[in-house]
Amino acid sequence: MTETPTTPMTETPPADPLLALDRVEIGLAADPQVRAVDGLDLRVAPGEAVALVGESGSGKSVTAYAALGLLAPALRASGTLRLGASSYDLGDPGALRPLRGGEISMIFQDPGTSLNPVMTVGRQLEDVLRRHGGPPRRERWRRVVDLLAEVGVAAPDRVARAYPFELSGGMRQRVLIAMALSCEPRLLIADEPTTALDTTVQAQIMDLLMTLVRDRGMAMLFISHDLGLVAGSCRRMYVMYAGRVVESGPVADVLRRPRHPYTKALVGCRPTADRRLARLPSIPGTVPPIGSMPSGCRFAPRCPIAVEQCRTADPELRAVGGNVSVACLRASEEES
Amino acid sequence: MAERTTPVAALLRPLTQKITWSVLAVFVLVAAAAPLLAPYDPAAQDLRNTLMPPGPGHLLGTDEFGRDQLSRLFHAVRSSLLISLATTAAVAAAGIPLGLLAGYARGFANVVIARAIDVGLALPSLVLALGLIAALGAGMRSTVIALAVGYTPYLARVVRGVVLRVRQEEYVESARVSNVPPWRIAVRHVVPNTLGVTSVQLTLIFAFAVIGEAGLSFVGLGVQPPTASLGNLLADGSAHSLDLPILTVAPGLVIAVLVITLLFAGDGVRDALDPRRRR
Amino acid sequence: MLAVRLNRARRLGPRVVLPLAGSVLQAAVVAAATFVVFLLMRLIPGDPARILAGPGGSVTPEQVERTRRELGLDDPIALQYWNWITDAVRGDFGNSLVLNDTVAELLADRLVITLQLSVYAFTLAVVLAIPLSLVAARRQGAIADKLSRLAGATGVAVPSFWLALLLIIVAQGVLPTFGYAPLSEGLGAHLGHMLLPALALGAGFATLVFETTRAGLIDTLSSDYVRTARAFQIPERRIYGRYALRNAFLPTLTIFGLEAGALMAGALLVENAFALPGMGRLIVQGVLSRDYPVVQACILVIVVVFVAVNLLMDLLYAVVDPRVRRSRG
Repeated sequence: MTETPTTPMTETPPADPLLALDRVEIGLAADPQVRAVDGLDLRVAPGEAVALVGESGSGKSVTAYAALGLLAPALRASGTLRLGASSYDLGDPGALRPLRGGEISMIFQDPGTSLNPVMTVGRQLEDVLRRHGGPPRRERWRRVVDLLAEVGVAAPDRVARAYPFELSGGMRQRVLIAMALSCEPRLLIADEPTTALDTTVQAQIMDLLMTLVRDRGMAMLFISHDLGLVAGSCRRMYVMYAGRVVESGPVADVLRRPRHPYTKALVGCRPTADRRLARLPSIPGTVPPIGSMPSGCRFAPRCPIAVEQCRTADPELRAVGGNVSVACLRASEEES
Repeated sequence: MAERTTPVAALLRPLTQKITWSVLAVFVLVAAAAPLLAPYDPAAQDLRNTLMPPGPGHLLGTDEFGRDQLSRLFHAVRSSLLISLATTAAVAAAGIPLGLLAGYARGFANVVIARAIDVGLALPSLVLALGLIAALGAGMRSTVIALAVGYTPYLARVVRGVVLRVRQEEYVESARVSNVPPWRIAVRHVVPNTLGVTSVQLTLIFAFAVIGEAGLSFVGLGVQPPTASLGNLLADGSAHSLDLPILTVAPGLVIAVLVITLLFAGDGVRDALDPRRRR
Repeated sequence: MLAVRLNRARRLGPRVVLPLAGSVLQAAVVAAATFVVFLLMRLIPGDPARILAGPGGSVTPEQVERTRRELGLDDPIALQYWNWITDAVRGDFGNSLVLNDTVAELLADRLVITLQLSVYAFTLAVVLAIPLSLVAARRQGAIADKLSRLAGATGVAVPSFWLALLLIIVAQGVLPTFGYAPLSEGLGAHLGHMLLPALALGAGFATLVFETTRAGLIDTLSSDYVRTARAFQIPERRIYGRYALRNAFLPTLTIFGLEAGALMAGALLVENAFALPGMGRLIVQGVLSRDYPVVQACILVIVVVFVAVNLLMDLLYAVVDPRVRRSRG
């Protein structure tokens, strides 16, 4: 367990983060004890690309929505969000409103439904520009076309005048990315931005995102269940299971040597070039539904190495060296 | 929580549904036992006691011929429910086969029936009913026929929609591929699937028939006096709505309560039949 | 058939029927519908020639024969229909068998009143229901849903003609409850006479518009594109107007079209309660006296208005929804 830190400084949890989420809890408004996210801490440094990984239902997307105060009315969050020197209460969605678009922009999972079907995409971009101190009215359209060109749209003039239903999925996602860029945010939250797209388009969109992040020095919180995409795009990662972070650390380290049995299983699920034809392993069982969480470790019912103690004691996230933290009672035992 | 429940139990679980079906039961009881419950003969005139306000002898007063309004109301519920029931039965008898045919037939027959349904929908039901009554003459039987013809296209259209949807389902496709005869597919898969929607629609049609009868009778084209029906009572009362409002208010209130109850019953049937809503 | 149609409209979703192709189809449907009406009128028992000859009047078979020939009743039915419909297009609906006037003359003024009443009721309903639905869409949850459903059910269950009688009882002495004032007597008098009838007719329609629009708004307010707009701080007022209401309005437009016929039919009954000299009394008298030229002309006019409104809604639909507009090319 004594590994020398060979990783560069950017892979440590930043001491002076751009974004810090502290003690995030998200539960039903009607019954706060029923939690989708339970005590999450997360840091993103300026210009850093961080991944938030987990199966669907693990709480990664609601975390992003909570950060922008966009939770569905049935859900309520608590905890704090710090952005630079300012601090915000996650329980007060109204207070988070000024951050939206300007400081933190978000792009969404399903570009097919994320644009207003009865307005041209150009008009929707204009709406956003007007809100975020874009150019004066007469130059706004010019800026819309420029933005579309910037995200690699071949015929930006025509696309700006098109309605969403006239565009392909990849094109719509480019429009949404242009929308996010138009506000020149310090942080971009990308919620499974390529899940709804074809594989080839997926690669193009990822390339675009990585280029933009690199060229603009923009930080990115990349939410995904696809470890392949994460490996190619992010430096640090958080692995979520059933509303909790179970492992965090540099992407390279975590993927090379996953310590939490859940991370191990995820990595095992990933099809790699040499194993593509082999039978894909799968994790038996499913994420427990919120409201019926097992006591003790939440992964215990699906865990191949769980012992009696796992079903009673709730493991804390603890550093295990190399900037990696794991929430598993058996992690170190197994390593040694 | 996910235990299997009988449809009736599922239907009656919410409090609103318990109330709904209790109220309906009262209506059915009143309709069935109207001759026993009514304190007077609904047609008996008493010209010395006309337009009496509600009092001990006549709980809801008397009309312009001195007939006991409460007795007339009981009998009106009876005839209105009978008319609505007959209308609904006729709509079911005509609309379900039409819809099945329209959904099942291919080619020319399909086009003809589908267009016929469209023609029926292009004529507002009440207007079509007026035309039919012009041809048939006013009366209880004409009212039933006119309303039934007016509402049948709606049911046929809904049934046709279900058939077209069910036909695309994989289990029907696979049955067809494995050479199950078409009539058998219809009986085994298509008809059971239409039952849910059909029963909801029929509940609604029952409610609209109550209003339809009232509307036709209100202008004198429906049930003919002296037979009591909810619409007739309204028509009779409207002449005296200023001096004796109870004659207008009471039958209208009965219509409103009856129809609301029927609409909620329809909601209940829909929810009970929808597995996603059943909890 | 309010709720039946409502369900249908919800299921239909955005119409993909092209307005032009739709109008051709609708024209065919109207033609067929009028033919059905025409046939129906031929079912009226009693020889029209005999009715025309006068009540109780003794006529010789020769006279009946001559009248039949004059009315064209001996022609084949298709030819009779053709003659009737081509005359009707030119505004000639023939003569009333009972009243001493041409049908066109009888219809003209009465149609105006019925249309006025329908349009006022429609306007009143929309002006009341849309803002209310915007307010109500903010209140979501089990209780708000139940109340909204109860309002919708009440709107269907309270027949317009009964509401008319109730309004007369309540408002007598305060507002005019009887008869008609043409515009020539001044806008105030005209609208004063129309207010209660329009309210009686429009109330049920208003609850329907309210229920549909509220449901549509709740759908669209929880949609992904509203979430996107909120993620970029688009002002809530603009979100409600351009994003939510505009999309939520599509099913409401369908309801407008589907309900146009029921609204006019309701107008016929409401007129009766307020003694408004519209088409209502004419058609009822026509049915009772088996005055078939009057009845078939009234029905024809209503069907034409119904189809015209639906055509208008299809066009509006295309204006609001680019998916319909642009898929034409």
